[in-house]
Amino acid sequence: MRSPLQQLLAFGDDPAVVFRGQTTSYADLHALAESQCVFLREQGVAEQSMVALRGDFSPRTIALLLALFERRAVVALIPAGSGEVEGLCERVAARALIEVRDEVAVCTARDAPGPLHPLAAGLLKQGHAGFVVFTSGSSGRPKPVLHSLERFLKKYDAVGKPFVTMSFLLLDHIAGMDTLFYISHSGGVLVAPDTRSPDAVCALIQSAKVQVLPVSPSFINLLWLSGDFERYDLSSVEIVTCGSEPMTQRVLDHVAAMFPKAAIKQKYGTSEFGSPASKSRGDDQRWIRLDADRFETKVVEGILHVKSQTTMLGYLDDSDPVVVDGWFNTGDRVEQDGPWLRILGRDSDIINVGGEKVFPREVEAVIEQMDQVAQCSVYGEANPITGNMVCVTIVPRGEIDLKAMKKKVKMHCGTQLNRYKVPVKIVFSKQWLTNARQKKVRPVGQ
Amino acid sequence: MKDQIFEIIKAAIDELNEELEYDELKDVTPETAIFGGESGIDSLSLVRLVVDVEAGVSEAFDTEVTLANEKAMSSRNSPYRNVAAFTDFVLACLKDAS
Repeated sequence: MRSPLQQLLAFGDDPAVVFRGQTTSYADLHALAESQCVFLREQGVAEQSMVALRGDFSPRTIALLLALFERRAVVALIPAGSGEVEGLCERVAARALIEVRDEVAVCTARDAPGPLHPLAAGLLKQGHAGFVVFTSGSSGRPKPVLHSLERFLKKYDAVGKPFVTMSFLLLDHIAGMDTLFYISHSGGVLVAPDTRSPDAVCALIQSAKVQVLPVSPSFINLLWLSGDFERYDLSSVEIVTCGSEPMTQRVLDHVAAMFPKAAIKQKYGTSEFGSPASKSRGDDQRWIRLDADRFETKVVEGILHVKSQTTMLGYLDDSDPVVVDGWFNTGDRVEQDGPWLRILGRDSDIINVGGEKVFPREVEAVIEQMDQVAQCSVYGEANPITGNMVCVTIVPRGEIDLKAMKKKVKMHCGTQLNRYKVPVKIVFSKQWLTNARQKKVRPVGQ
Repeated sequence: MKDQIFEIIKAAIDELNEELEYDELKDVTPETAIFGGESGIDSLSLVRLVVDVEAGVSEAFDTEVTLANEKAMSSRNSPYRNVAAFTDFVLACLKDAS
């Protein structure tokens, strides 16, 4: 099997990446990645080591990623908006951190990293490359998910025709990796957005004649609300893929109105096994069928289980195993109709804000640091703009100015949490939020 | 009533802009763009603004309204495009509720 770096040579001078108005060919991207191999050597980044990488889609970041894979590294993809870079590097025992900003890479060696998790150590010892994506954990701590690159790339052996695709989904998400490898294996063009506002995305679709637009249902709602789609020519779009949140009829209607010539494809995937090729049912596109050759499915008590060769090697922490006999429990509630599945969403407290997962306990822990808070309970409430929103009920300590307190809570959360995790709705209560068994009561708003 | 709603929206935008510090949001007028176009706020800020205005309306008029609803999401002209449109939309929702 050719490495992802060697794979680039198959497409020579064809355009590979469009970024900030510049086009980089496959040959140029290959040359850039080769130069990044030299850069890594000069920076003292050892081959076969754990390296953290932080950056959005751009020629430099892609080249660095491929160079790291060429040097058989395990690359931990640090979430772009994360304020806890050091903590995440620590979690995976990264030997170095590479950050790309404005096409400049800065490499920082990390002193005295802890011991590698046995799964990562095993992969590196065998001389295999891999990558780590972080997924929200129920305890509030992000869980590092380890994938073997070789295993993950298996599903790109027989990819279809090349398209001009926007890399809307972030590189540090499994869906971003999926976008990258589909394009680089099919010889397509990756159009990397600088920002992801509806206006910027529309402008880029028009200028780069984007054919495939992989987005989330929430983004479709926003595009509709912004009205920006009416000011640009979006007729190049042939396929809109939508994932990470349950699909609604309204989203389907909006796609049909904004992209009348495009086919809509619902995607389903998780950080733990990637996103399989899927087909939407003709009569009702909320139903999908996963690629049965590579992904076996079974439904146990309404919950979807998946068995696949691309399933992760495991979590790099002491999380409970969710893979039993090769079957991965997705935790997603589904309806089944023969081979067709309809994803209904998580059967748990998890709040899905525009495709990003929020665990109530993480937010509660931050709010409870405040002296004026005696107790709090975080929950989700449906909101058509972002699917759901984060809400909190607070039992204050003593007499407080409620308006000032609301502001304080938002500011305090803003300094410690990603923006999508900060509660937008804050209500106060004088009642304790625990039931007779001292279990926290969470209002069910969804 | 319309003036009062405008003031509620203005106060909510002012509070939001204490953090965002966008020049375009400094002097709120009916023409101020809220969502869409090159400037304007992002989706998380929009959700927050809508929730804050709901709270302001509830306090001022003692009526609960939902301002992110099917009507808002389906209409061809978004009620969040500027302050004037949002003011009219809040007024209509209030009338429906009472």
